[in-house]
Amino acid sequence: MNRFLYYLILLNMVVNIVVEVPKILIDHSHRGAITSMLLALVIGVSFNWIVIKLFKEHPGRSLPELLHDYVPSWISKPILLYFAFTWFFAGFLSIAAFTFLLKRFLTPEMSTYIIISTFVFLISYGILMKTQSLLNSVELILVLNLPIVIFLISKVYSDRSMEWDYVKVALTYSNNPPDYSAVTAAIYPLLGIVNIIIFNRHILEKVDMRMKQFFIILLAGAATLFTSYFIPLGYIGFGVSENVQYPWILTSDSIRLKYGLIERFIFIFLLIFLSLSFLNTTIHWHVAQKLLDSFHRTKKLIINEKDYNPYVWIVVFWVITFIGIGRMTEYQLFLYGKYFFNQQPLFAVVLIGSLMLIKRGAKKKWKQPAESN
Amino acid sequence: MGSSSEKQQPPELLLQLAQQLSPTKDIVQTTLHVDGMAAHLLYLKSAVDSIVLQKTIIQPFFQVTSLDDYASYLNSDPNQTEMADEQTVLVDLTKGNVLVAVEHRFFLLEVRKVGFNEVQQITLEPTIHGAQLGLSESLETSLNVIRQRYHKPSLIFDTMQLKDQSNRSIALVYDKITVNPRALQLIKKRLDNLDFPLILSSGDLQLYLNGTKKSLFPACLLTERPDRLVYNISAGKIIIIVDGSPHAVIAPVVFFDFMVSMEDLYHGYWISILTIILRYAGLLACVILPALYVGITSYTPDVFRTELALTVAASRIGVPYPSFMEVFFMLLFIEFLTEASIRLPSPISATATTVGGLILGTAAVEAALTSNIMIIVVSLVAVSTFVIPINELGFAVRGLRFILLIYTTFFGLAGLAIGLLGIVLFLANKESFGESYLKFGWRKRKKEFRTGEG
Repeated sequence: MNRFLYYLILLNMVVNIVVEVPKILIDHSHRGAITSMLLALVIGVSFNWIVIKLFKEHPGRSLPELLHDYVPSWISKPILLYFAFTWFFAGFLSIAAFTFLLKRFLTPEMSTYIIISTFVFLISYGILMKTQSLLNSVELILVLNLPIVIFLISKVYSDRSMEWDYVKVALTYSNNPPDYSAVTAAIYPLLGIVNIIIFNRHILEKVDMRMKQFFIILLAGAATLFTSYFIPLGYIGFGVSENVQYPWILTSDSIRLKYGLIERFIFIFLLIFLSLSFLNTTIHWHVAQKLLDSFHRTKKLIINEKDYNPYVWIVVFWVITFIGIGRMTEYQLFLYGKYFFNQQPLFAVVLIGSLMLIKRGAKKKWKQPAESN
Repeated sequence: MGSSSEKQQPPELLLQLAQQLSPTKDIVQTTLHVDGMAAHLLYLKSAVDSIVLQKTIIQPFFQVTSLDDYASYLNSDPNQTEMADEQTVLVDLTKGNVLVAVEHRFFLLEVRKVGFNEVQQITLEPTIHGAQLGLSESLETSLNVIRQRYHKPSLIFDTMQLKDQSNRSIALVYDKITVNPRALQLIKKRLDNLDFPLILSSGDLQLYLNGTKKSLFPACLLTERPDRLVYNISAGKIIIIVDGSPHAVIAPVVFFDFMVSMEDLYHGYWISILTIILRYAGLLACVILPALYVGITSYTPDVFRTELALTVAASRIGVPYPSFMEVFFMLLFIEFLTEASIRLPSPISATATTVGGLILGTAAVEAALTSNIMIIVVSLVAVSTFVIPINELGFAVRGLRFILLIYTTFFGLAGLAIGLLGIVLFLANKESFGESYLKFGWRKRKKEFRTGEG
């Protein structure tokens, strides 16, 4: 498998260790969190498999291009709009989550709007970047950050205040039937592959998934879900964790780096995950903007050979973000996050459905080459 | 007799050219004659090597027996220059060509005198091992330096003339087997479209080639080390040398090229690994330290362990303004100092550094205008800037840390983290002649990646 696909999958996994997903899972710890995670793992990895297999047949082409070629526009336009909205909202949720996190833990006196602007200006730059450069920077940032992430996670595992007894207690609830919300929340970290719909245009080689890759993703996904659910339980305690709004942040604050220049683990943890989350959001919004571009663009905005269409979408993004997050509360954030996760099956159906349509359209065109010209 | 006096008269073209060159005083228009044979010379004394002229053009005239012999002698001279239109001939004359008229035939022969063709000592990128002599200010000598270090038939010298007022010659040097054809095409196109009134050296040529006019980071590398040139030629890069400038331009480059010192190749494996780590640590330190100071003292002092936080806070007691002002002033001060010591002649610059660095620094702390720790930070920043081996990147980084400082001043420690990522994004999006500026150079990269599309 192409390494850029690994990056996309891995980044989404790492980023979602932290905020909404573990919270929702811990909320369901008495109601089938463990079976939900197992189910999610199977569904999520198979979804990866299906998407990659379907894209394998169209090397070097993005979903909007394929839709344009093989699917009538009255079907493809709503699909593009729906996808754009999904991707925008995914980025929006990460920004909201980190805005609240920073306000709680790093800079409590700062205004929400200033914290939002920390992100949006540079994310907007990321939207305007060339897709290939974005992939390059994803590689750079991820490769530089992953050693630190591995250090942080191994520190979390090996610290003495981690009580494995709580994990054992949690494991006794493994016979509960899975819960819908918990399953969808647990699938989310495994869905990093969906960014392929735009990035496939720039990834030419080795878009394929064999048994080996399947197991690598399965293992990485299992480790991610295990870590994000069980570790906070081990630190905070089973049965109490539900009352905590940010289980992972509290967990990271229980660890002390005895000999470090920075004594409190939480600061390194926050900043590293903040950077990765920023990167993931940049990817989401880049994809959203590309989708919107193929949904609608006017020639009126091409002034002096410079295309101002993306700028319009960026302004729209800004307005929604500033107004939306400015008025949001933390409770609403988790509620919307849950709604967003709950609609994911629809998203999966639409994505696979549209890829099937493309497959059918491509076959048809193959049979009638005269018509296509 | 009448025919011979006609021969004595210089041809019309010669007179016309002389007319156009006048009233400069170094113009020489003379006629050689012996036994009824005559040849007319036109050249500029200041551009021509008179000894060579004497030996190769004047002396043979008196040794041959007929004008035809002399003409065929001149015609077979390898230094002959093609004659195009009148304007080109004029430019060629100013470059050191001699126009010889024999009967009705004209010969343009290159007899250049270059007073500055010595190879120069390397001053900008000194190394302990490795070459100690660099390029020369004369194009021919510089090309000779390269040719003598890279004996391969595939090495190509492509000389052309700049289209500005100075009409300087430039040379593109590359290995035709390894060269990146896209970049070569792009550079040739840019050189053709170059539209600037006057180009003085490879330094400003490099800026004009950049594509974008305003850019913080250099898109080409300027060097004077022949070993670096050969290293880059063999890696498929293109070298541009301007006549009269002892520096060569290397393009396309990536960010990591600026962090390589040729010394790395001459040391043992572990030693060069350690120096490379040191260098990147220096780069990181000089970019983030000022911003980190602001982020920690003004936004989140609890990041540091308690003892350290208290030390920092204690040293700031009595400083009458917020930390970002302190950092800004001290950085500005250190920039003044660096700038002054670059521009001053070396005996005076030592005084400036002592007065500025030692005395002012101590006095500023004693007057409680700045904290001790700030002085440490600023000196560390200044020193670590000089760890960067290529000067141009050093200048870019000096600008960069102000940008990061401003971003952190507005957004705190989170701003620092995001700002750093922003720098990575910015560099990754930059291009140098079609190559991404910042990326990992894994192998097989070209294959799996579609290059050159938006």
